[in-house]
Amino acid sequence: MENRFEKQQEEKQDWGAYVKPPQTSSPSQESEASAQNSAPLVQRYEPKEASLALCEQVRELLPALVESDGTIRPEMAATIFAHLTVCRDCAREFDELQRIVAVLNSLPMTPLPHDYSGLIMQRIEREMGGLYPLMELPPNWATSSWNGEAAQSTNPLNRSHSSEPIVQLLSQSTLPLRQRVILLGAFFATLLLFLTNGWGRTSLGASMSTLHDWLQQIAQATESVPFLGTIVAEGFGVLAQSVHLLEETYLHIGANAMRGVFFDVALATGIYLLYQGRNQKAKQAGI
Amino acid sequence: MRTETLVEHSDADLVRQTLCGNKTAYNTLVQRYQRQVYNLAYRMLGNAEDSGDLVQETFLRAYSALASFRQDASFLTWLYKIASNLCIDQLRSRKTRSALSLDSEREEGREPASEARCSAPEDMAVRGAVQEVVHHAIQNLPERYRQVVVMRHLQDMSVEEIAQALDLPTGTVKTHLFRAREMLRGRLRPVLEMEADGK
Repeated sequence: MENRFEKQQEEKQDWGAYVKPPQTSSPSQESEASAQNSAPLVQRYEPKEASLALCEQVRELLPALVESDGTIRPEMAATIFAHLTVCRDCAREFDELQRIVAVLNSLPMTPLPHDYSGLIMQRIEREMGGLYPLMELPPNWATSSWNGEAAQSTNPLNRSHSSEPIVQLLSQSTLPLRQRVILLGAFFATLLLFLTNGWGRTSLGASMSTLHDWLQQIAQATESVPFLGTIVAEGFGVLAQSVHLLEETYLHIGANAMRGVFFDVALATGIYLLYQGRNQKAKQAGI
Repeated sequence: MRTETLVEHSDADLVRQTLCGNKTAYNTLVQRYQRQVYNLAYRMLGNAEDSGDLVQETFLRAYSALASFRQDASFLTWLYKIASNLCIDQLRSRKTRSALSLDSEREEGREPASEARCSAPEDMAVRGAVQEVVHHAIQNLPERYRQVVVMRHLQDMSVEEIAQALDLPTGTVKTHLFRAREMLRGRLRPVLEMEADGK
């Protein structure tokens, strides 16, 4: 009957191939082996005798072992160390790795040639003095205690405000971005007024059919002029066609649907501009 | 009086105070981290003058983008992110410049200065400048490897923090570290042997 316990023990010897001497076939080799047995473990086997695949496995794990970052379990570490005691090449590699890490870690922090804070604050004042405040100062920030746990709990600045990023984002876009969004909004609002309001169309003469007629007249007038005139006429013709198409769509789907379409376009453009502005700021910061 | 208490305050609070318009708070942050940023720059760029400029630029950019700092990572990691990007930009522009000057030196039949400097690490070690040799070996690493080595061994950052600062997966950071150490092992072997013999 098969002895399962013996088999299990043999399987466990996977790492221990270096601990056990290899089987010898002749009596002369046996005497050599017994002579080797008396020598220290490290000198007993050359790496040629060891499994190269196992050495490769161990070497792959050496950086993690040097790093000691917890990725290698203690039992695995023990097995690797057992291997290192018998494999000279792997032991040398481990030793070199350790020395490299030690040499790198021993490099001192370079002292600052001088304090840059004054210079930096001067440049901030000069180049971007008006950038902040973005947020309102909490009423008690100056009077609250700034150390210990009490400060952590009582100071309103320590609390996390879910709305802060939005506040920051809106305030951050104070400048060109906010102006762009306002201008865009005004433009779409005016367009909506022209398109959906009878007064807008009639009083300002922005009726689409009138516009269509005008564009067609211009196209016809310029058509007679050779070369450039023909090109200009083509351009105006296309514009007139587009206005006509818009007018047809407007009459067909109605003013409310048109308002909705323009609102969607305005919203999408606004979101795009905000996103672009944010990216631009991060890019400027080198992030 | 306020400055004294600000020194003890956390980064997150100093950032919020800066956003509220308190410049002293930002000054405290600069004083707190300028040395770390300078060291990162110094090990990446290799000279004090450029490193000083880079410290200034990093803190200016951080100030202008402070509102976008979301505190997912520490303020220092965020600073490192800005500084390392600036370092890469600087190294790239320097590479372009040196390629041009290298061509002109070769045209004139002179040996490029940088190659002459790199050629004899043993000599430098004999002069007792082991640290100088190591510093020089780091300087000669490819940029991406240099970044992780400097952050891991000189700034004492964890692999996760480096991954966060460089926007890289942790596996990639580990691979870069491994390759960087392999390169350094090859280049610093004489120094390591000399040190071992000395001991």
